[in-house]
Amino acid sequence: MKYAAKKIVTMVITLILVTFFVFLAFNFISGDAAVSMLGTNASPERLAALRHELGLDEPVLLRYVKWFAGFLRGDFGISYSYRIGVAGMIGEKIPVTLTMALYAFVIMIVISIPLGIFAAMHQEGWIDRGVSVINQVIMAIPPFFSGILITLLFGRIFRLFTPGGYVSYRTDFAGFLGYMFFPALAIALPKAAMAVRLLRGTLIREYNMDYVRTAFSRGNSTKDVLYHHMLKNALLPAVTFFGMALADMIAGSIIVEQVFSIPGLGRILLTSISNRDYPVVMAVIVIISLLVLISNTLVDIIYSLIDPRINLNE
Amino acid sequence: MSVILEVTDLNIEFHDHIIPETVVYDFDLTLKKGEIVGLVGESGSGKSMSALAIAGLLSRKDMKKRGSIVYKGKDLLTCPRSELRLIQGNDISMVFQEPLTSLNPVKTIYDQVEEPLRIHTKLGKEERYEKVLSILKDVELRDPETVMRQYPHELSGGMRQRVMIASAMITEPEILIADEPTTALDVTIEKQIIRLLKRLNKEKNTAVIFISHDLSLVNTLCERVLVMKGGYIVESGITHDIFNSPKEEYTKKLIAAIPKLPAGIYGRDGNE
Amino acid sequence: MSKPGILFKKNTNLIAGAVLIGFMLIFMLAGIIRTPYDPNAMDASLKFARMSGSHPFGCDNFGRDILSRVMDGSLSTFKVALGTVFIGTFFGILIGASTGYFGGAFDEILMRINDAVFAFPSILLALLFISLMGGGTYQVMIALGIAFIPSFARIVRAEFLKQKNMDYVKSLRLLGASHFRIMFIHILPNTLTVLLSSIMIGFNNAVLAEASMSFLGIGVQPPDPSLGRMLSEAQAYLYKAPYYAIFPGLAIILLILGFSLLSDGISK
Repeated sequence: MKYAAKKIVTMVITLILVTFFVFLAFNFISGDAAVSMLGTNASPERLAALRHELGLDEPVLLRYVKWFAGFLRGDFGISYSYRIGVAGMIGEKIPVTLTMALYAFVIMIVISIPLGIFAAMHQEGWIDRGVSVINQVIMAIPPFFSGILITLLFGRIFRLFTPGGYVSYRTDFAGFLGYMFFPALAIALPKAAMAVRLLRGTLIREYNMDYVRTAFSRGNSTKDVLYHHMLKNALLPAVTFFGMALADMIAGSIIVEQVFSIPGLGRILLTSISNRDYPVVMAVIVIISLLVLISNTLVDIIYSLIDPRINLNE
Repeated sequence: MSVILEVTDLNIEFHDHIIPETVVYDFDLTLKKGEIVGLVGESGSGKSMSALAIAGLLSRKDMKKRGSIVYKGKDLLTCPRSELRLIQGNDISMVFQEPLTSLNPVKTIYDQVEEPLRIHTKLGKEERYEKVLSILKDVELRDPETVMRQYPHELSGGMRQRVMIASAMITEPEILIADEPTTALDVTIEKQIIRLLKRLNKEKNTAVIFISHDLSLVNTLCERVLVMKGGYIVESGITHDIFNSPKEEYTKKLIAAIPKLPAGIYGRDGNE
Repeated sequence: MSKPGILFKKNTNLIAGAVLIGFMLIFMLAGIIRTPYDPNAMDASLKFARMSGSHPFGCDNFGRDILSRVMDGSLSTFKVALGTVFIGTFFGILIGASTGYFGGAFDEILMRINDAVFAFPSILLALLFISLMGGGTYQVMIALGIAFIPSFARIVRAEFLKQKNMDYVKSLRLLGASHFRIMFIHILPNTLTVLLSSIMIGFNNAVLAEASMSFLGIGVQPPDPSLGRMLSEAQAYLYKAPYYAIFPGLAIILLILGFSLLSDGISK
C-alpha cells in the first residue's frame, strides 16, 4: 500500500510538471491568442479588451495556477474557434476514446495470453513456426491499415458492420459496443502479435530456470508447472509491455478514429490543430497524458502486486 | 538393510549435436535404506547427470538413456511419466546447488514447502500447515511462522537451502538426492547444512545420495563413495578406505586438491 | 559446452530482412532515377483505371499512376524516417554516452526527464510538437526525431554503464586518454551491435510514425505523394478501387517488416 501511495504521488507530480511545460510551450510559441481570434486588423482597444477577458494580461505562473485549478474542476477554458467552453466540447468524447482503448486492451489480452502459451508449448513445431511468421507480419501492419483491411473485409465483404455508421453510446449502447469492436480490433492486432511473441519468448526462457526443475522434482505435471510456477513469472515482463501497449493504444486511437469515422478526442484534436485552437489542443493533450499517466501508474502497482521483490527494493 | 534403489548400466547420451555425446557410461549404484552414498568428481564428470536421471529430471527429447533405474520393483526409465510423478517429491526428492534460483521467486516459502503435500497427500489445510511448521522447525529455521510468509529473496543463502531441504523432506522420502547443496554457501553455513543432513538421515531413516566435488565433505558425511571421471565410475567403496588409500591417480588428485584449512575455521560452529 | 550447430545455423531473420529492405531500396532508387509516369500527372480518362500492363498498380481518383506514386511516396517516407533516426541517434548517443559515462547528478536529472518523456507515446509527443510548430515534412522529421531521443539515450546509456567499468577503459585512463576519446573512439564502437539493432527498430518505428502522421494529413503536404496520405485518400474509394489502398499499405508493411527482421537478425 505504501508503494501504491508513493506511485500515486509520483504520478501527481509528473502531471503537474507535464501540464506546466505544456502550458508554457503553448503560451510562448502559440503567439497572441487575441490576435489569432480577432485577426491582425483588429483595433488595439478590442485586442486589449479580449486579452483581459481571456486573462492574458496576467503573469504566466498565475495563469498556470488558474488554469490548473480550472482543470481540476473540469474547466478547460474557452475555445478560440467556437467561443464555447472546451469542457463541453470534449467532455463526451472522452468515454469514446477511452472505451476504444480499453476495448483494444481487452482484445489484446484475450488473444495474446492463450496464444503465447500455446506457441511456447509447441515450441519449434510447425504450428509454432506458422504462428511466428504470421506474428511477424501482423506486427508490421500499422493500425490504420489494419483498420482499412478490417473495413474492407468485415464491413464490405462480410457486412458485419456498416463502415462509417458510428452509433453514439448515448443513443444505443449495444450498437456502440458492436461498432467499436472493429476499430478496437485494428488497434489490438499488432500489439497482440507483439505480446504473443514476448510471452512465448519469456515462457521458453522461464522453462530453463532452476525453479522449474525444482517444481518437476516435486512431482508436478507439465501443466501444473506451467500454470502454478512459470506463468506468474512470465507475466512480469508481459505486464510492463501491456502497460506500454495501453498507453500506445490510447494515443493510437486518435489515428484509428479517422479510419472508422468516430467522433472521439482524435478528430477534435486534429481539427483544433489545424484551426490553431490552442485551448482545445492543450486540453486534449493534457487529458490523453493524464490517461497515459494513470495507466502507467496502474501497471506499476499491478507489477508490485505480482512481484514480491519490488516492495523491498523501494 | 534392504536395497531400495538399483541402478544398472545407466548410459546417458545427448543428441543435440551432429555427433552424439555420451555423458554417463555404465553407471551402477545399489542404494540401501537409510545409507548415505557420496558421488564425487570434477564438473563434467557425469555425477549430476546421473543424479538427475535418478530423480527423473532428464526428460528432454534430445537425450537417450539406456540401462535401468529400479525403485521398489519399478523401472523409472521405462515407466510412464504419470507413474514417475507419483514417486517424484514423494519417494525421491532433490535438493539443488543454487538455492536462490531453485526456489520460485514469486511464491511464498509456505507455498513452496507445502507443495509436495498438496501433490502427494490428501491432507487438509490445517494438517498441512502443522506439517510445514514442524518441518521448518526440523531444519532448524528460527521463527518459522515469519519465514513461511516470506519470499526467497528475503532469506539468507543458508536459510534458503534449509527451506529447500524442508520442501524435499516434508513427505519423508526414501531417497534424498543432494546435488552440491553447499557449494553456493560459505564454509560455516556449509558445516551446519552437512550436520543437518546427517541428523535428518538418522531421524527419518532417509537414504541420501550426496553429490560433491569436495572429497573432504564426502568423507565427513558418507559411508560409501563413488568417484566419477569423464562419465565413468573410476573407483568405489567405503569412503574411509578410499580416502586413506586411493587406488586411482584421479582420486589421489582429488584428495590432493582439498584445501588445507586451519583447523579452527572448519571446526568452529558458525552462526547465521 | 560449445554448440557447433549454432555457428552454422543460418540467420534467417537477417537474410529475410536484408532481402526486403534491399528490394525496397532498389524500388525507391529506381523511383529517383525515373518513375514510370509523372506521379502527379492527372488524367481524367484514367480515373480508377484497373491494374494493367501499362499501370501495374492501377490509377487513383485523379487518374494518377499508383505505382509511380508508391515509389515516390515510399521514398518520402524513407527520407523522413532517415532524418528522424538521425536526430534520435545523434542526440541519443550524446545524452546517453555522457550520462552513462559521467553519472552523478547530471545523469540523475537527465534520466528522470528522459523517463518521463519515454513514458509518453511518440505519436502524442509528435502531435504536441506539430501543434506548436505547424505541419510539414521537416516539422514532422524534427518532431519525431525529438520523440525518439529518449529511447536511444536509454539504450546507449545502459551500454556505456556496462562498458565504463571494464578493464580496457581503466587502462586507457591510466595511459592518459581523454574522456572524449575514450567515449567516442573506444567505447562507442563496442556498442555497435546494440546500436545497430536499435537503429533498425528506430527505422521500424519511424516509418510507422511518419505513415501515421501523413495519414492524419500532418506530414508531407499535397500534391507530393506520401504513403500515409494515399491511404487516407484511398479510404473513400475502398469498395470501388481496393488496390488504391492495398499497394501503399503493402509498401509500408514491407518497410516495417524488413526493418524489424533486420533488428532481430542483428541482435541475434
